[in-house]
Amino acid sequence: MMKTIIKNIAPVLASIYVSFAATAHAELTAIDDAELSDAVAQGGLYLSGEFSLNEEGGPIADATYTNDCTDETKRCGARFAYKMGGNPENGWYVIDDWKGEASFEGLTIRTRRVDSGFNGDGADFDKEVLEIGLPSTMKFKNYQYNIGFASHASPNDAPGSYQQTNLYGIEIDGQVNMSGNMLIFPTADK
Amino acid sequence: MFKLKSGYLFVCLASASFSTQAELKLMDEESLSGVTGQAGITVELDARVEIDELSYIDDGNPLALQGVSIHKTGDDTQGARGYVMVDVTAEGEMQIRHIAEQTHLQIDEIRVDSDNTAPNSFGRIALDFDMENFFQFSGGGRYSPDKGMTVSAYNSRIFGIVRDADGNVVNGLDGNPLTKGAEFFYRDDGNDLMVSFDFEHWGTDWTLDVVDDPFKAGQEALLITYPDHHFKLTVDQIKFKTRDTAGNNYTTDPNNSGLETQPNVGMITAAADVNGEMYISAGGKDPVQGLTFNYNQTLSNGDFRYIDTNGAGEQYEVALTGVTHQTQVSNLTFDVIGDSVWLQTERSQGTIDIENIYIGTLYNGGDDTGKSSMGSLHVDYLFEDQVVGGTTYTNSIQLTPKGNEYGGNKGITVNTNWSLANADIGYTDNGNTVWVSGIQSYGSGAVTFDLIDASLIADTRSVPASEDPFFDGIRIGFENVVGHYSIDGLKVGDDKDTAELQGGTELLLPLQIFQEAYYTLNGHVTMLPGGSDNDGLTFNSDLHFTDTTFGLSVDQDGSGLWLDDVTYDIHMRGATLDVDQRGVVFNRGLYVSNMDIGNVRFGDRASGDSLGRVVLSRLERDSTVYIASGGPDGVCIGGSGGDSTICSNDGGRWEERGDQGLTIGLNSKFVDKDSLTAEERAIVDGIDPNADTKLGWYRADGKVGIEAVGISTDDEGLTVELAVNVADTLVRDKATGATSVKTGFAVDTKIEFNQLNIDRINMNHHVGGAQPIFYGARFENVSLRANVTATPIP
Repeated sequence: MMKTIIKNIAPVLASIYVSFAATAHAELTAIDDAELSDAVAQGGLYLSGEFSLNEEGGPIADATYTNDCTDETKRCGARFAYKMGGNPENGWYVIDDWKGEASFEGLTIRTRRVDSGFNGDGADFDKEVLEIGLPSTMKFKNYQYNIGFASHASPNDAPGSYQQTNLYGIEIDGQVNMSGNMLIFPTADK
Repeated sequence: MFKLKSGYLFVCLASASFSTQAELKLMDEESLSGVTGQAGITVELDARVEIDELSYIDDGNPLALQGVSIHKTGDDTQGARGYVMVDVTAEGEMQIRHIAEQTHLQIDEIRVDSDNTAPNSFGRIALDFDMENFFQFSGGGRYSPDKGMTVSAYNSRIFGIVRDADGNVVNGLDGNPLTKGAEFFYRDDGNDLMVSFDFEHWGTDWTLDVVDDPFKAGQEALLITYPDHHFKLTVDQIKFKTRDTAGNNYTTDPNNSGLETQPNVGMITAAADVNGEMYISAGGKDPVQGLTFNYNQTLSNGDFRYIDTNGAGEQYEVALTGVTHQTQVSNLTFDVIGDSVWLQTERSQGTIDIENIYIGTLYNGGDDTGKSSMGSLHVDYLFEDQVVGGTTYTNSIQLTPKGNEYGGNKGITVNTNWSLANADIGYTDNGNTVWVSGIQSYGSGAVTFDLIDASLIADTRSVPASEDPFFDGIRIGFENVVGHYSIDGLKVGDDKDTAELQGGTELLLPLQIFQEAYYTLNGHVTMLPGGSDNDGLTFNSDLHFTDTTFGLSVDQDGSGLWLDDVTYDIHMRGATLDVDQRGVVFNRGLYVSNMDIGNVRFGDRASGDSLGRVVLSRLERDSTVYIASGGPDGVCIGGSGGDSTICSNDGGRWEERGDQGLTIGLNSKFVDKDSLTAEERAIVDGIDPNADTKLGWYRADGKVGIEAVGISTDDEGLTVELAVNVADTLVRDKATGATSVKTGFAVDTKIEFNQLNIDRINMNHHVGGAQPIFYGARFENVSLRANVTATPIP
């Protein structure tokens, strides 16, 4: 397994951008913080806290999984498997042993109208956007997953014949510094 | 005006004697200690009464009680025995004590029919009871010893006394009669609803005066002042039974009606102290006849409980204790207009405080020592007329005989208008308070009440296939209920007037609690007593939301994120509601729903740009929603550990949550449609033969989209659990980087499941049709947690 350790990584939100790419556009913009601080109405949401995935294991405890993450003989992370071929013999792509946590202060969410700024483009744009104000810092701890191929969706589907080959693994520890906002706006028909 | 039609009233004066007492002696209140028997008279009655019709007529419109009868319980050939004892105290006050034994009171029909031709009726009511009343009163009211009347002490109790087969009173170990509940019956279309209860109220110094009416110039009003009133209510049975084709019912044989053996909803207890004053004026909504009420009232030391007894005899409760309710009601009018009874209020304002809320705790006879409370609740509300979009919304209910069109000629239709101008709900958890602030609601529509025997409807009435099906039970129907509600936002702090408005309602979206909604509701909820384990309720329901818009996050200008052009159909079969050690548990049974969101809009709810159409269909079996007291004592942010030391050693920040709090959970079991049993398949086919769990996102014109179909979980389902607290958290000023501690609305969300399977993910195109891009996907062993606290932006 190839393991990559990334510290102080900034562009981790690229995946969010991709998820909206079909009929919406997302854009990272550096709205100044003074403007953001004016957003004290009920539509503005300021969040602090953390997200964690299988921090202390998942719900399954069996021959494959454990909910005691100190037991390195079994998996305690989450798993996502998907299959792109329609034949029974086609294999599965897997994201395996996926776990970790991310804590943050100052994630803001609100809708606002962009009708000025952006070097004059804002006036032409003149639309409502969903603005996600990025937290100043995001601290990752033991965030990791493996990418691989497998013969079945789950090791429990074929205990005797199951096969999996991991291509590489990711582990992230450390603090990510962020600034600016992500704007999401629809372009589909009304 | 009251009018009495033909009938007979047969009251046998069985005996009359001076200074004698009847045999039943249940009253032992201190107020009775003054019964000295100065010059008493006892009258023994044997009453059998039949009245064809007794009408209250308001401006020519009659509210008619037809077939009124009183006789001995279970034997309409014998009169009900009663005693009236009259005495005068040494102080010159009159005492009246009244006892009624084994009495059956029945009203065959209650009609509101101006020309007395329609067959429609509210239904039949009856009451089997024993009763004791005591009144001590004298001349002179609140303002003058020469006018009015004062009831210096009173006590009244309605209940039942246990008797043997020969009608003899059965006494307990203390020599007093064994008591049970009085039994109230409501009959609609031959089906019976029974409520068994014991109600007692008592107090001192009621005054009645006729005074200048402060609300209607030039008119007098009756003023009732009740400075020291108390009540205690125990409902021990609520049962339902469809019509008995063998002809057994409570009138001919109360022990053989079959009601006694039916499942029970559970036990309800209520007790409180009440004081207030009420003006009753002549003339209602229409100016000539009718009644108008104006009153101020304070309910204090309230204790209200629902107790669910399971099959093992364990009793779990939902309890509201330390309840105070102050209310001021202006111009509440009562009228009979046309074929309806009208109640309307100009303004109703009040506050409700609930000191402690216990959910899922063991009932211990009202002793709450050692129990963990959810916290306390404070509600401020104002109902008054308001004009929205040129439409005036009032607060009124219009009661009309006959319920649903196919539910027979009896039942109740309530045409309602409501107008909640403002409300704030404060929830206090370990001394910190969060306010759901600026709640506004208005709307109108019809709500119908019927007791239903589904087989009778199927056999005798032609119900179009487009109508929702009927089920046995107590049916509450919704017919074009068009409404709106909105929430300004949240505030955190003791004083809601100075606390800053903030977001945070968005954190409750997993529970489908939206910040704002416009909706039209049709459908029904039909309830049967009895839950999944003895007491409780069972539901069958079909609900249809149309012309609906949900606001997910809305600012003060009405701009936000909206789900627009929504139709939402919800079908439940065999759902149950119980209270057990987990809290309040609602099992949705076999559940089929379809939420079709025409447009996900940003900005204005009607004209904002759309993200497209989203459709979420669900097929579930035994999914549950549960609500319980308490939550985590604390959470570790940025680290791991169950206490502050371990958390800190792991590099985390410990945030205390206290011992109070509220936990709400949803366990969704998405079922593979191919795994349905034959019985379930038949039920689902009756709702939607293509029912499945799927999620689709489409271009607004519907020509292009992506959809995940055949979504299912294993038997453990997918659990979303939210623990709600008010707690301190660390916030960072983005401009300066400075950090500070703020109190916010904290939601600890845990999403957990063993397996979530997706059969296919298809790309849909209007030319090529559905093309799979994934031939299967599975999430496995997932435990996702978000500890998030919402605060104002620093």
